Amino acid sequence: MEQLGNIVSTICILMAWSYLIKENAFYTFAEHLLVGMAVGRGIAYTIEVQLTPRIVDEMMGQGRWSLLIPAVIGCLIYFRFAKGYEWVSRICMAVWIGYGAGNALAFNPATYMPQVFDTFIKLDSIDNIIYFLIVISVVWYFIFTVRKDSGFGQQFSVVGRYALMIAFGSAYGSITMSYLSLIIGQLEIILRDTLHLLK
Amino acid sequence: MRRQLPLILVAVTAFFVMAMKFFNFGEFGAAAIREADIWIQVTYEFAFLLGAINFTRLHLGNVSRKRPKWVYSAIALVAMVLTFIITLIDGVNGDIAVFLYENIANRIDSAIYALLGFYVCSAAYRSFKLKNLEAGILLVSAVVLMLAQAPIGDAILPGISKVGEWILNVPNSAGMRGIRLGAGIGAYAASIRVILGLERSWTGSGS
Amino acid sequence: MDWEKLQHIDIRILYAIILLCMIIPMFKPLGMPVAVSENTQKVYQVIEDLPDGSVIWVSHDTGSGNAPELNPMITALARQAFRKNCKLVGTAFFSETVGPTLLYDYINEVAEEMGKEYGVDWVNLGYRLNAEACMKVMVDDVWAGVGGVDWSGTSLENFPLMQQVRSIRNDVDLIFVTTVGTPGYGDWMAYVAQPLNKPLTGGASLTMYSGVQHYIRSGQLKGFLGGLRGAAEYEQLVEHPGQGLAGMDAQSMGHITVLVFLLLGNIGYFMVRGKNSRQ
Repeated sequence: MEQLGNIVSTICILMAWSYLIKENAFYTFAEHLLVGMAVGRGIAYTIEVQLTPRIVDEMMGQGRWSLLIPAVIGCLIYFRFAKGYEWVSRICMAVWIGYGAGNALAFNPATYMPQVFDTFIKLDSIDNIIYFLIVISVVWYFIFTVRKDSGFGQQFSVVGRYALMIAFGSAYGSITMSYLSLIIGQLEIILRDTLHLLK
Repeated sequence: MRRQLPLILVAVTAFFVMAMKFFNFGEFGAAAIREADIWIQVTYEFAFLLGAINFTRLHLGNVSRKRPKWVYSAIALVAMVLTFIITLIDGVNGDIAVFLYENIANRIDSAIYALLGFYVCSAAYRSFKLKNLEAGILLVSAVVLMLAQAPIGDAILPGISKVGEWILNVPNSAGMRGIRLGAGIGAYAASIRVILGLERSWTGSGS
Repeated sequence: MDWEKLQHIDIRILYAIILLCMIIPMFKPLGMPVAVSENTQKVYQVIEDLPDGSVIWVSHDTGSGNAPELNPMITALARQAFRKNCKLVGTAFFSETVGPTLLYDYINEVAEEMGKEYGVDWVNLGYRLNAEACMKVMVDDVWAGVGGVDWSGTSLENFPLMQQVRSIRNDVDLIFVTTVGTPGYGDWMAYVAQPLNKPLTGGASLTMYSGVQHYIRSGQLKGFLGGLRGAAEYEQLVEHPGQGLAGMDAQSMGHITVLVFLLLGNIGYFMVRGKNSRQ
């Protein structure tokens, strides 16, 4: 069974990678198969692990009928498909958006403020001085409400831009490594698990 | 009513969440926000079919109108229905359901994502050109990081991993923090605009 | 020499070269030593410093795309945690279809090897819709947050471990998150770790690793593993080489190949530009 799984996996990887030569029927087939299976499993998972315990155990079992209110609000989203009544779905969206915005304002400062405090540290080493200057210059670079046409303001903004280039460069370097490791993951399935060519 | 009700609901929900966080309402407050969090989960759970309905409408439309490549739409629909039935009968961690999902869908998914590994190579060759000083800084930083993070880097240029670690920890970290500080303020501003009803693009009526 | 040609090599040839360059070291390993970075050491140490028998919350917030980078981290964590008789409670918020299955597979493999039992030593709670609401509820009531069932719909009543773990606030000692985006470490930090002052560590795909460094510096993350390399370093620390270390030689050759491509592209570019300016 395991070997069969590995063979199927290898065929799937090769179908997906056939796109590197050019777009073809195998790739398109694999692409649609993936999307269909993901949606199917997603619905089944939600029904089995989330809706069933909620309806059977909590609502019916424990008699928490108050949950019918959010259930109805959730179902309002399907009014998107009812011509002339699309606006009703916005009630559900409004609750989600309000909840998200409220959470962002209530909880994010806890992660944000330590970042601010940690910037204003003792400037007792070269690294700390560089760190402080870069943070300030990048923030300065992103302030667009002040004119920075000439003088120190402009030069400091340029420093910020160069600092961003270093950050983006290191991001590119890291991303390269990340993506290459994804190829390695697939190669291991083909060469080690399926063909048993590697230890 | 159609326009105002959603905007009022946004503000009420947001203020409720914030009030429960910032003020101490004791036991009642803790129970109220817990119930609200569960209610939000329930709204999501009952809206779970939204994506599936959209997906089905799109692909059924393709099949019924025999649009180009409609056969693939049919394949997607069949895959969805079969996976749904098998997973529901066999259970989400049933042998057959897991076998099919891990060896087909998971594998295609990760293989398609791994195509990016090849594209990053073509990007390095085709697009990453030393055209000006900014591009030069970007390139040097990227090259150092690439060498530093691969074990072979130190064999080629001893000490490069230390340089890479320094770039990651100091200039990169500081640059990213600058972005984070700016983006954070932007996110707060956007949230306030949404709550105050100044940002209405989500209602389909623009700002 | 016609430098124009150097700029227009068929891209499929480059794909074949990169594939070949990564396959060769798989057969003939270079055996390059992998130095352990400070960030990885921190992750290992924060777990090592936990008292034996502690409860670690592990969230495998990944899709299948980045999973090859993050799965070895879960394996190594399970090994380190089970050695210390720590308990693992798992969730997976990024993808309902991928994360829970992978989390189960990778912990289960180590658990079977080390004689640990599902429900007693570890539990997989799986995916739930709306991560932020679920996390907020679980802070004080894990059972309510997940609707009283694990990832397969089995009631939590059946698991002795879950009798012990009722809330993250009182019953969890450390949070370990593998992350590729949102929901991920950001949500765990905002809704759980910061408000409860719980140590938060884990690992990220290298696609976002450069973007988490400032959180490590501020101490909001207690170290963080970076991609397959981070996993390889962690495997060294737990003294059990696995998939992470196995891929390092191929990774090295891949990097060298990308650098050669970069050089080729630039040589071609400068030669053509020089020729044009002379004309």
